[in-house]
Amino acid sequence: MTGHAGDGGATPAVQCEGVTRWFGGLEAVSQVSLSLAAGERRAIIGPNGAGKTTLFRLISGEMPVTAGRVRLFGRDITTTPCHRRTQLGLGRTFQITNLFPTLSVLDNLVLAALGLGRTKFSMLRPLWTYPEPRARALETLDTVGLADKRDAIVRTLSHGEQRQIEMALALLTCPRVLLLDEPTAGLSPAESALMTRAIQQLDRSITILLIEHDMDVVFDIVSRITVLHLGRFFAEGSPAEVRQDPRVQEIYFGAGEVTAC
Amino acid sequence: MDVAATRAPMRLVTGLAVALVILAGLAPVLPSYVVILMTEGLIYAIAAASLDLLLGFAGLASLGHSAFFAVGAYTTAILVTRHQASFGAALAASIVLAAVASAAIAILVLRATGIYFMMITLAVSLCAWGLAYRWVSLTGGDTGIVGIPRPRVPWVGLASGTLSFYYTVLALFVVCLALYLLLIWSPFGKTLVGIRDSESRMRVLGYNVFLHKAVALVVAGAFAGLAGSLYAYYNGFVGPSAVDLAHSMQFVLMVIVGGPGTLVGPLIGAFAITFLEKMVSVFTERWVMVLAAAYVVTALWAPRGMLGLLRAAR
Amino acid sequence: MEFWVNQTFNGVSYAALLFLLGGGLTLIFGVMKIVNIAHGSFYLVGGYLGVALVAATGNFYLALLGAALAVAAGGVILERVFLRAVEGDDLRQMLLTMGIALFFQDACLLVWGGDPFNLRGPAYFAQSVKLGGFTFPILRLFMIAAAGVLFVVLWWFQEKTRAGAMVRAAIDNAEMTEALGINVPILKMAVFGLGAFLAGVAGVVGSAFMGIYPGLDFEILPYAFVVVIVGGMGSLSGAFVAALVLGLLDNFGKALFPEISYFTLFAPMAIVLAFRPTGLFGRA
Repeated sequence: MTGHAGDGGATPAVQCEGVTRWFGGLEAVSQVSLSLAAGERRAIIGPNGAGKTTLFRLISGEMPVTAGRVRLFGRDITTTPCHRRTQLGLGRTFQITNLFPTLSVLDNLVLAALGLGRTKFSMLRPLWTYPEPRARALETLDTVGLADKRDAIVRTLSHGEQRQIEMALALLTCPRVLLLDEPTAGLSPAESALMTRAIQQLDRSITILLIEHDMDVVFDIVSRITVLHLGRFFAEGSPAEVRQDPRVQEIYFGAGEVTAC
Repeated sequence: MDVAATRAPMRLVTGLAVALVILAGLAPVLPSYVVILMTEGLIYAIAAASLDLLLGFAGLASLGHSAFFAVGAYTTAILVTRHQASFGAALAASIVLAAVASAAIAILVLRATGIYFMMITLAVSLCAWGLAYRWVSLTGGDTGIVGIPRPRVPWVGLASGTLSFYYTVLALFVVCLALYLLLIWSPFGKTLVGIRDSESRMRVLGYNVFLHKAVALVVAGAFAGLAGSLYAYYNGFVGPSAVDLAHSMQFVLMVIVGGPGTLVGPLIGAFAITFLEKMVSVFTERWVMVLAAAYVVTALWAPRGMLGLLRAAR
Repeated sequence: MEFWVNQTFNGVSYAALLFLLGGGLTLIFGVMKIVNIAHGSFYLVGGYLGVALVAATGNFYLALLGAALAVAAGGVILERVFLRAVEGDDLRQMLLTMGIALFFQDACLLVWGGDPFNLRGPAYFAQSVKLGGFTFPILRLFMIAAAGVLFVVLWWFQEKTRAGAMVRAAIDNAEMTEALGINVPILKMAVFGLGAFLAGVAGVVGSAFMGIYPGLDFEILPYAFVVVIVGGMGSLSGAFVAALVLGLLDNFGKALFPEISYFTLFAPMAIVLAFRPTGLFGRA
């Protein structure tokens, strides 16, 4: 299997080759190629409409590519359905919180813990007689610091708490590659700092691809940045390089001027 | 084992057990027309609860559930009148055929979601009515199939009496209820609620959403087939009315009147609608008008059903 | 030869009726995204009103227009008073249309009783046109002409006018339409009225063709829904093509393979759903 220390450096964790997606006549993502080494932490930035979230959806398999190939640890997953990619070690959080609003916090996590096993098809035995998913859920609940909210209905939680659960669900699928879509979206500076710390402290073996608008968060977490613009690859480099790149400043600045009109 | 998690289910089981004891104990002292109505209520309760698995739990608003009820009813009618099938054989065949039909339909309808799913499942039930109506050599067309005798049950002998048939149906109802409860408490039942709340999240968590929905449709179809089989025995006659639009929608109404996603609500809804129909019919010929009002009132003021109103009042 | 020409002609004239019925339903679905079970009732009420108006005025065309307009007005009121109240909830809207359908079913039974009626069109409806050795009943020609004209008018309206562009936009993306400053509530009301109008026309024309009786509302509903699904939900051209396909299949099916004709509704729908889930003209 991949993931051995020996070939970890050689086989990229995620590889996109000319990934393209059309919506009607509009090219949302065009010929994007990028490669993440195992254990790498990379950010994708770009102005609104750069195609960042669409690229995530193409990598996670929520949406089929129009052209190009996607590989996970060398394995071609271009046509692999979304749920199979999760089983292969690809996790993802959503920019717009996407939880099970009518279920309790614990049930949300238990569903995440059940996703990869066979237990999920069991029909004739109550869920509470299975100790394993519950134990894993409780453990994760402790790590994100929401143990006292375990029986609360998710809909009633604060936005900050929901963002934490968003992260907890992804972690329960034991991802080797984690796609984080604006994990700090809508959080207060204090909550944002906590979330950033939590991401920094994730197991170093997990490869992270991060979409984020808050540059401070980006600089704290990643070692490399890929810039997308209008669905295309625009630039790539270390945070310092990208920060100083005048072209990058221009697209942000330019986009700012356009929206200001 | 999580003790805290069993508290609410245990309360539910206790409540249901009390209700079942009353249903069983009261029957001998009630007039036989009430027992007949209770039999009908139980049969519809099995069907309505099976639809609740889809509509209330999995969020699959299937408007074509009567098609599988009808497969069960026609299977039993044909096997019993033309092939002298035993009760057990007719029941088993009805369940299996309804499940098979459900699986075939699942493949056709499950690529659609939301309002498209509703349109297509409704169309399926409308076509099923058309088949029942026009495929005369199989279904008897408009005349249907008549003369279905009451079942011969091994441990009761000939359940021709109102009371013994009632107890037969009640026994099967208890079995179904136990299976329903296990299902909604099971990991699989929880995945259905997850799908209702967020399909996209379920996929990202590693669930094959299509497969879970298909299994739900097949299971619900099988229970509807069982209810249909009992209905054939109960009614003694099966015609296109078993699968017409009014009948199809009646299941949906029962689920929503009671409270979708509660399992108990649809059971109450089934009894409420069944008894309402008979009681209204005593006083007026305008039952259809009353039923129309029931739809409008439910849609406008009680979309979460009686249990929903109760919960809101508390 | 005569068999083929006659059956084709019969199939096309039947398709005309199916289009009038399904065209309205597909428009309503496209813009409002509701399962309109009351569509059969619009047909039924249209038919009964047509019978009454022909008896009162003696003029078929006046009755056709009057009945269809009355049904359209009723549709507008229903949309305003009931459907608007539960907008955005598919299940509640569906339950409402079911309640409305049952109400009209019973109301019609109360007013017109259980006996079937035949709507008497102009005397020449009973005559035929002879052309190249074939005879074409004028009633059927009228049905084809009515459906054809309405299709062309609706198509022109949808593709070439500003209001039609709004309808198309609403079918594609209702929120976007709202953002563009189009008055979506008025648009929905108008489209529901238009759909009801078409069903009313179908009711009058259909009553002249095959009479009208209680229960017909739910009997014709399968055809309306299958036309919409096969054509692609919300597509007018799709409904037109689907009506043609189903009309011809139904006629030839009955004539050539009576045993298979039970499936002429279900089979086309199943095949379309299996290979093209969004319908012939539907967009993903």
